Amino acid sequence: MMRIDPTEPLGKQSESSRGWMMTVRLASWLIISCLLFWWLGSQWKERSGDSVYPDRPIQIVVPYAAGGGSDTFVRIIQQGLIDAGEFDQPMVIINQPGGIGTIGSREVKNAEPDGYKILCHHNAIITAKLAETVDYGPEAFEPIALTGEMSMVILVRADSEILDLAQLLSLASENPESVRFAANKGAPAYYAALQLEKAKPGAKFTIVSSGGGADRYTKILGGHLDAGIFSLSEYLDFVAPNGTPPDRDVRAIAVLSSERHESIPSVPASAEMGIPVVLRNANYWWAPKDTSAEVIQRLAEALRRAMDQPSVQGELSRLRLDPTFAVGDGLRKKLSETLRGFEEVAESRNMDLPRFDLYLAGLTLLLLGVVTVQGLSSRIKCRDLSLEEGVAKQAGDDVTSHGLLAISCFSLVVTHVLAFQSGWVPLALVIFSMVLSTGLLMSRVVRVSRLALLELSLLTGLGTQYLFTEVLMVALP
Amino acid sequence: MDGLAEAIDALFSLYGLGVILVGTFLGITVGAVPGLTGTMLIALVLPLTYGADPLLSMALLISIYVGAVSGGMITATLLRMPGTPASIITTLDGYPMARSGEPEKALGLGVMASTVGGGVSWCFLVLLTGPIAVLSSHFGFFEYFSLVMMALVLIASVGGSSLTLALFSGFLGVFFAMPGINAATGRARWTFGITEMNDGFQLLPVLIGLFAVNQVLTDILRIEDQGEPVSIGKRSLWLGPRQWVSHGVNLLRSSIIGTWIGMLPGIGANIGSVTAYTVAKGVSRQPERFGHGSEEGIVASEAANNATIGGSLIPLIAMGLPGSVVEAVLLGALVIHGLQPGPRLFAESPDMVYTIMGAMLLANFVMAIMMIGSMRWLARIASVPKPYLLPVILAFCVVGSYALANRFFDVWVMLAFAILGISLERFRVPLAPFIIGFVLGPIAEKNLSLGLQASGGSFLPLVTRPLSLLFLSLSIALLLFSIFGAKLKGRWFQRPSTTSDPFDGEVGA
Repeated sequence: MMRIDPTEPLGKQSESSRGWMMTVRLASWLIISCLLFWWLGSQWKERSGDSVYPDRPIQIVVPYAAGGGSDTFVRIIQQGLIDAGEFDQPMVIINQPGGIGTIGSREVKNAEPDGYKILCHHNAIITAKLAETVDYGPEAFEPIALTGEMSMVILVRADSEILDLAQLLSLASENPESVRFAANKGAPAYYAALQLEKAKPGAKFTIVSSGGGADRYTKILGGHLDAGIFSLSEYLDFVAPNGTPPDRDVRAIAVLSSERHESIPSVPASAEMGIPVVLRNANYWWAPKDTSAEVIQRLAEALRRAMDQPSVQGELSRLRLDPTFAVGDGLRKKLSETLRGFEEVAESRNMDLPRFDLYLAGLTLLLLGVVTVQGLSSRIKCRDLSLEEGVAKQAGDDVTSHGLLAISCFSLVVTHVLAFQSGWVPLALVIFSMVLSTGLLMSRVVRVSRLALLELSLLTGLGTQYLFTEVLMVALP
Repeated sequence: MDGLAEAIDALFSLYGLGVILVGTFLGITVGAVPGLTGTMLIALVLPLTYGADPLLSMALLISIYVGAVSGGMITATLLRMPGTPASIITTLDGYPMARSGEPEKALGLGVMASTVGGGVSWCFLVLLTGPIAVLSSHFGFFEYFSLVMMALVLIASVGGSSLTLALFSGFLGVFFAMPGINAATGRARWTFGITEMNDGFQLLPVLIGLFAVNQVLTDILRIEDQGEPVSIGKRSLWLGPRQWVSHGVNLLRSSIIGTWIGMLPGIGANIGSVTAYTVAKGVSRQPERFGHGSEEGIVASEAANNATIGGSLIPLIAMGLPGSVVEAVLLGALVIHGLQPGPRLFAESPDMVYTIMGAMLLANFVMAIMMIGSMRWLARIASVPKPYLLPVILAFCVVGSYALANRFFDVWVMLAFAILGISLERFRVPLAPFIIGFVLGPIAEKNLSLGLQASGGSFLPLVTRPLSLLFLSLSIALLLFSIFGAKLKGRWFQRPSTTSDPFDGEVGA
């Protein structure tokens, strides 16, 4: 290891540390030139290309976080597209999570209808409009295809007295609101719960939005909720091995489907019991409105071939997804049926929860008042006791010393973010210029080597570009 | 025990060990550099782990955490500038001892105490997490709500400078968590017609803005602060077994205090070390040595601040409640990787639980070896000129916020919260309660709303369910105590403890 004496003042390195500096410098220039060649190459490659669709990467927007169910599904299809040899261009997955999928869906809705930015989104795209989260539904998109559906089951705790779906509904109609039913407001499961109520006159659940699958499961085991809708794969994950005491396990009382599912043959389908509620969460692919029919056709064809890949079939059955596929009229019919089913029961049954947000805003303002009064009074007290010197000096020091420098650096950052957002300047250049300019500003106060700053900015700029495009696959504007 | 095997596989692979080495090294480095904090690094590294294996990502973040809490003592001892807030107390005795010609001994004691503190709290982590997870799986909506309320009161009452400022900061945090889709009703609120606001403000941009950018700007303000370090001689940092034995009781006591303080939600490593230091001074046979280079003081502070790590991981894993700002980021990291911390984590992904535990233990050993082996080098890194460091951090703040969800909205949120953070600190409002409120507020609201949905709108279960009643009465008692007790207690926790201000030395005087 290099021995460096920490007492040495900077700038006056000894022989050994000068040699060390040379090595570092040489290595950093080597890395910089490699990155520069890679970047120029990639820029050049992007410019050249033939004009048959697709002649540049297709972006698939997943409106949920990386690693979630939707993301896993799209990555399987992406691999299928590669295996099937579709498209010479890469398919880039962009995760835009948030707002129950509305942030990603809006992104695609507003995109150019050229087939280079498409969306994969399940039934929640239909319910988001009904729940008034956004003002558009499926009609704002061109549907490309339906690929894969997930069956949904109703779970109760294993020692529950509810044995089947009919009994659940009669309990809910005899004692309205006695059954606490887990289904998230605004999500497809919520509308399925309303459809169930409609199937039996007088039935009424107490519907509780209780978050993700794991949360709902815990609450059902703890006896805080009586029943809930889960996906088939969640059920198979949750169900405990034989011999578990019944109060630590769950039981499926029905599949919301027209027929039983092959992986749980003993669980009856809802249709068998004369309750025509079917909920299957389907994955749909969407393009922006007015995308040309040829492009839709091309994408649908590619998705069909991807779905036919044995590897995709295998992965989907591992996820318990049924490999359904629909395009064109079949797809439209399916969509309008689902929409009608939800619309029939859509009602705003909002239990009047207290407006916690308003209370909170009031409380925060109140505290702000208290704090201000306290601050003012303590300042006056300080002045009276003529103790302000220490405090005021400390506070004043900061502003006068390098306040201008800090403000300039911050403004430089803001300017560079604006340039980055405009999309005209590549990331590498933005970062290079940002690091260099802020560094140079600071070096007016603390003297450092300009050359080293230049190296550092080149390294950071090209490095982040490499990291983003090659490692993280982030979509740059 | 499949999970255990998988965790061991992941940790003892080439990647696993590499990740722990790199993480600990980076952690110690940022911990040692005044002006850079572990929170900052963890928030900036998190976006890089999106595409990576969840187990390795968590191992990386945990190692950074362990490294950062430990690294702060280097500059605290040599420069009298705590590298992280966790080491503020170490400056009291570390620096005088270093100045009096024994820097190796001061650092050696610190490393020993850190290692023991980490180890002891690790044992508690392993022993307590399981039972607490089982216990909390019986919690319903109302119990969770009351528990979170207790946590909020706790940070306000012991967290920072004054009770009102801390409360204000906490409530402001909850306030900024309000926009977005309400989990209980499925409806968006406070979005002002902006679609991006459907998702509210995300934790990561808020955190990067409040802590990282704010800290960089503050560092620019005092860009010339670069002290002269006390130089380290050639003596080894390794202490003989006699030292270990003679500090045995103090080590154990401080570690246990640190662990317990860490377990309390909302309180971080700095409070742990203050408390252990006070107790050590109280029972010491030489209390007059404290503040003038006391061995016991260094040991108590460093053992306790490292012990808070294991302690604070317990509620995070077992109940999904973050104990400190770093924990809030770790919670976010788990959620980003599709895992929900809480009672189910043990059953669903035992591999993750064991990886977190294993990574903490390994990082603890790696930290000890690294600190002893490369202290001279680390001391040198701590004085890298700011103009090299700060621009690169700013760049990472921008790209890190953007990478979260591929949108510029987050970058602007980050910049706006940087301004907010710097203005709050101007007025001496501590920032830690803000983040805890920001994270816990929505959890409390959701649980209360769902509880009300299930109970048909009745608030009664809050007081009729015994556990809920217990938590509520505890929080009210705490609040009353801190209002009236503060007057009696004197002024122990005076300074805002979120940034690494150069420490003046009045605490403990």
